[in-house]
Amino acid sequence: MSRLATGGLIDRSRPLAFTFDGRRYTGFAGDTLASALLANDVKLVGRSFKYHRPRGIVSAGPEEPNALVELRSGARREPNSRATVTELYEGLEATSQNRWPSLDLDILSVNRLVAPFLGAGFYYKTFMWPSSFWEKLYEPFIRRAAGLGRAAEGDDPDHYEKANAFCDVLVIGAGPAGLMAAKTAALAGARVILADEDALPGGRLNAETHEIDGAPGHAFAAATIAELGALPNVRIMTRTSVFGVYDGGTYGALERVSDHLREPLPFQPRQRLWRIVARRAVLAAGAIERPIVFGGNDRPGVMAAGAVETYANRYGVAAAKRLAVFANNDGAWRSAFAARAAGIEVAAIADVRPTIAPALLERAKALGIRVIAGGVVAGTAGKTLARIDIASGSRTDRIAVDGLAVSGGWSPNVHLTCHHGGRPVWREDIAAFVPGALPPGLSVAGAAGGTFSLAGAFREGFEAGAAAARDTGFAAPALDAPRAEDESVALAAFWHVAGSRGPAFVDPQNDVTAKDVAIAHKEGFRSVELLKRYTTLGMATDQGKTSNVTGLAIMAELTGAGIEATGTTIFRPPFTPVAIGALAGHHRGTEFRPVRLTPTHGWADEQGAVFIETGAWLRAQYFPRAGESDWLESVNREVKAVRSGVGMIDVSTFGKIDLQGPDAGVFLDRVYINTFSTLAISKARYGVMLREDGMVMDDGTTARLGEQHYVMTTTTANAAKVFQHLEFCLQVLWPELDVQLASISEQWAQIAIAGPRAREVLVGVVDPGTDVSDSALPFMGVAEARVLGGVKARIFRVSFSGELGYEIAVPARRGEDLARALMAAGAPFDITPYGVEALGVMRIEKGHVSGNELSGQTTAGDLGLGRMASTKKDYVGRIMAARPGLTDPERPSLAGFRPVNPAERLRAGAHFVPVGGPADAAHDQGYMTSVAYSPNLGHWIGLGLIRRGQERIGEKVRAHDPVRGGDVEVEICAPCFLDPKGERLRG
Amino acid sequence: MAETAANIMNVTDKPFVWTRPVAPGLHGTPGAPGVTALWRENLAFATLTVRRGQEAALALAAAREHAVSLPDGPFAAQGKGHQGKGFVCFGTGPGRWLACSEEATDLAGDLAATLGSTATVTAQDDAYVAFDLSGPCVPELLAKLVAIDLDPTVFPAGSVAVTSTAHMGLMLWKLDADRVRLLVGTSLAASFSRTLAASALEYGFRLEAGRGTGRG
Amino acid sequence: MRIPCPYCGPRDSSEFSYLGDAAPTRPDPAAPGAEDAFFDYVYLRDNPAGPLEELWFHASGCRQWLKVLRDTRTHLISGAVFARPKAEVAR
Ligand SMILES: [Zn+2]
Repeated sequence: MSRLATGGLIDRSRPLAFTFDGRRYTGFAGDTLASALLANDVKLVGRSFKYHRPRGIVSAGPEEPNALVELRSGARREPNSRATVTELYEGLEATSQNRWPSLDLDILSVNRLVAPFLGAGFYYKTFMWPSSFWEKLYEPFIRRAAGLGRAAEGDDPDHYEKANAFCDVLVIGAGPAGLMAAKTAALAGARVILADEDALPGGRLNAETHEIDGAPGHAFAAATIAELGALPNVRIMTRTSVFGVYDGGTYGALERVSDHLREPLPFQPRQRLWRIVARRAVLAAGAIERPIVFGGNDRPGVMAAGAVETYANRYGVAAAKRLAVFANNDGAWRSAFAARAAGIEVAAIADVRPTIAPALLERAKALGIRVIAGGVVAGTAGKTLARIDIASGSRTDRIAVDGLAVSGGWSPNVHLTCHHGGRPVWREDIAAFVPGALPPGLSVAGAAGGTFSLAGAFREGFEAGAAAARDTGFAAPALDAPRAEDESVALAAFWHVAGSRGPAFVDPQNDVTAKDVAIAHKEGFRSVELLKRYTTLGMATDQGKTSNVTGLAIMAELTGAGIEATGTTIFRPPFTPVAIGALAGHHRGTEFRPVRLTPTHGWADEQGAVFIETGAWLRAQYFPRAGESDWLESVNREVKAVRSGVGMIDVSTFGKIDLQGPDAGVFLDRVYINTFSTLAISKARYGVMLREDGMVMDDGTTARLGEQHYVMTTTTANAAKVFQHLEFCLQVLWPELDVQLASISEQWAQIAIAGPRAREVLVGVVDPGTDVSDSALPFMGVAEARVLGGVKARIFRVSFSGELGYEIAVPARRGEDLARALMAAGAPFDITPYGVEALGVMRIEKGHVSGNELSGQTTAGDLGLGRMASTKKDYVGRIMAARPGLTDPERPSLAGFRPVNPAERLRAGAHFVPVGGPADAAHDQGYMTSVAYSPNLGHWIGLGLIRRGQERIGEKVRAHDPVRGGDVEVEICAPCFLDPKGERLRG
Repeated sequence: MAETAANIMNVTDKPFVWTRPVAPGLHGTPGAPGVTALWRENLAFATLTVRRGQEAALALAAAREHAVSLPDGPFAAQGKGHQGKGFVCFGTGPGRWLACSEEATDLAGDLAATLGSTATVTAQDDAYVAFDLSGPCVPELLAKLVAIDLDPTVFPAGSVAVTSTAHMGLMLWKLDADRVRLLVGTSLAASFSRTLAASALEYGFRLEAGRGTGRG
Repeated sequence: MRIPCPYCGPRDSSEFSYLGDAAPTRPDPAAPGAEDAFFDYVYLRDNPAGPLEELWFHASGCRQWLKVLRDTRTHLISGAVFARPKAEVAR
């Protein structure tokens, strides 16, 4: 066991059992999986992506590139979980990745022997080889060998949700700078959100051994959090990663509500995606310690110096029994001293710098730590680390250690500052990129901005919090900055031990070595963007948090251009991975989007309807009856019933818009191609409206209820679009018109009855004394009447099916009553409910255009509606519809089609080509838009757009459908297949 | 199968059906519900839109006939009249209001009679379903539903917002410090009830069917 | 992105639908050269890098067409007014 006897912010009274690769271990509450594994002496935790090299834990935070595990099992299995941020819970199951058959013995580690194949540019070069090699050999090999863990085995059983929060000041990170910023802004009175991805706020205060105002750092953090938590204007969000900065002060954050539990508590989401809108934000996200690249640097046991310190102080774990330190900066010395203080033997500190600050040397001497100034690690050995070689000058020291703490300096977490395109700026004095141009409203404090000392973090946190408060209208309070150390963070830039023994990994997760960077350089891929893509440096799940700067620094050394000139790739959201489930929230499965139910949905359900989604609506598609073998049989019956008797269908889904005001008629004249100002009261008219570019936008009937009162119907699909268009016309084009619009789509249920017996059914539902005779209510007549015993109704004598038809509108909650009343009144005539399939068949039989023809690429002329256009007025789209290209007689126009062999089936989407001619694009004459089987005619019929269609009645062409292997000879005919004179609907 | 938010939102069988409204009763965390929703279909609604150039005349008529100062922003104002029942006017846009009465009577007819010369009045009684929310967890629930700052300092009692939730149009009226009325389109009531329940289960969610609720 | 609706207050851009440059105005259909003027009105747009006044419709809110000033380089929105003339905006 490597658990220290005392210390750490863990709860030793709460042991937690967990398994790793099936073996049972025990940790404590407050552990991460990584700290618990280290406490149990588990050093080998995974294999690398490409070479399957054994890997251990290198960090203690979100930047971890190596210790990725599969967490949980079955449907909850989550691959690539970072052990360093996975909180331990009772019963945690983790499995190592990328090994077969076992972590200890991995057969695919022979990949290392073929490493020359898999070097920089491997993917690109392999593509150059014969494609058969790729498909049969390389791709299957790569798919088996590579990849980062296995996906879950079933639908995620948990749920995710989204939420919104608003504040004056958002503070990102609850380390010393963040705590100070939040406290300052909060005491000023601002609404503050303090977010930290850790379960335990405090950042480095929990990891290091500072004294603040005489108390330990972690105690100071806890006290400050308690103080903030008591303020009503502060919200503290732990386990919450702010992962992206979006426009207008919007921040994306992921709250891991239940990830620290075996499974979510009842009714709790697994994760919650927050959209936080903040007037000001302070980025206090700290910094990440960088490695130094040397041969054998990926051996388990090699770790970031700060991580060794964190495991000792926060988790009470000795990451090594005998440790060496390899560094280029003063901070790492303090890590070494902290490790020593925690009881870890520190064998040596090798610092690349020849001259070391005397205070550090004295302290090392006092602790009995050997110092090798100007020393570098020249090699490592052991399955897990057992020995290192340190070269200094001409001598090499071979030191037996099981841990090596490495520090190449610190990289500020500038990620969020790049999300609006800001480019980090190189600061030579700290050898790090610091934030450049910032997103509006965001400021940076502490290590995230390159200020690494504790006193500096407090100072900047106070300043940023005070400024944010002032900017949002609050006077900053006078606060005493906590007394803390202004410790030295001096360093000498150093990236790579040239000539060290063995592969030297820059990006351990993607197995990119210093040699790969050199290859990229040699082959000319020298810009940082090319380096990244050619070698895949920084493209793994950690997005290069520990590797980007080192990689480009090595490239800069090779080019001699310097880091500033080399520049850096910038970061996009998210800062840490966000599950797709969290982005989807509740919108999955059948709840992918809300569904609108028609007023008669319950009734249709009782009738056994099969439903279909049409846009947001769920409509009855057809009503199968016992004994019917397929949908077509049901639809044929429904069509025949309407044509021979009577049927009914809910048409409430049409858009319905109420237009009132003295200028309503003039307004309609301007939006429709035909005239409505002359329409008589109590009459309806079919109208077509265009877009301003001359294409048809929508069609429908509009009725005049009064001198200044019209009711428009739109197609179901275009309801919202048309309403928006009308608002545009009224508010932007003609604000001088006195017209008031109201959507009444939700207010009215509308049921169509159609068929020769329709009037007899209507008589059965209107209140006594209502005259619905042909003379009182002629074709295209409209009546406001009472039905069902006093219910206000509007009756429109219109027809889509071509039969005698009425649409009866009643307030939506009476829709179901109306449906039942119609069924009762129609019972003597065997009234048949029909669905949208039968409706479609009948409109094709009548040659009425619908969504397939109103494709946004058709003119009124194309659809045979050109003669409706008034020449006596202007309307939207008139001028552009007259363009030569839109009036070209060669344009495909609407026609009907029937198969020459009546047994053959037609297919929508088939293209028309000449009989006996080639079926190619050069001979394409148009395409079939809609088809249906007509039970009245006994064969398939179609509508389509074909060149000069209306002049070619009787001509034969082929409907060619290469996708489904169809090639049917069809005869062009008039689009109306049934009752062309319209005698039925006037009956 | 247990009743969980996951199976409200995903699973097509029991106990929630994707085409059905949530059943009345207590759902989610047992005990005192954190959110109670009263589903009401018995309210009267009418939209009111000022005629061009009649703003002042409408304001006068509204004040005279109904003792109401029509709100010129997203707020609610109480009106008198309407057969002694009174009504509330929500500002929904410049020159546009939604009137709402607790009684299912001919609100549109009454308003047309008094205001019809200066405004267009359209009956919308069947267009909306109301969910009256109460309980200690209403603010947390609303944070999941709407992307609007509802802090009392910026959204005091009497405020109104026309917005959307989960791709559904939604109108929100803060009746007082503790209660909120949500209006959704009638066709979306079932979908909305599931969204509401899924978001509120963790607090304990009680759905009550109010007078006139035909479905559920 | 948040758009400050002059009626509703600041709202998420998902509540709005976008049309484009607010500058073009519908030409007089009776004027000579109307065909060319309409062609420009329908199709010709500048694509400036910088502040641009655009038409947005508050579809999920007050249903008003707005003129929104947005910087095309940064998405910074510096204001929004009703698209209809001031005299026509009802109180
Ligand atoms: Zn608005």
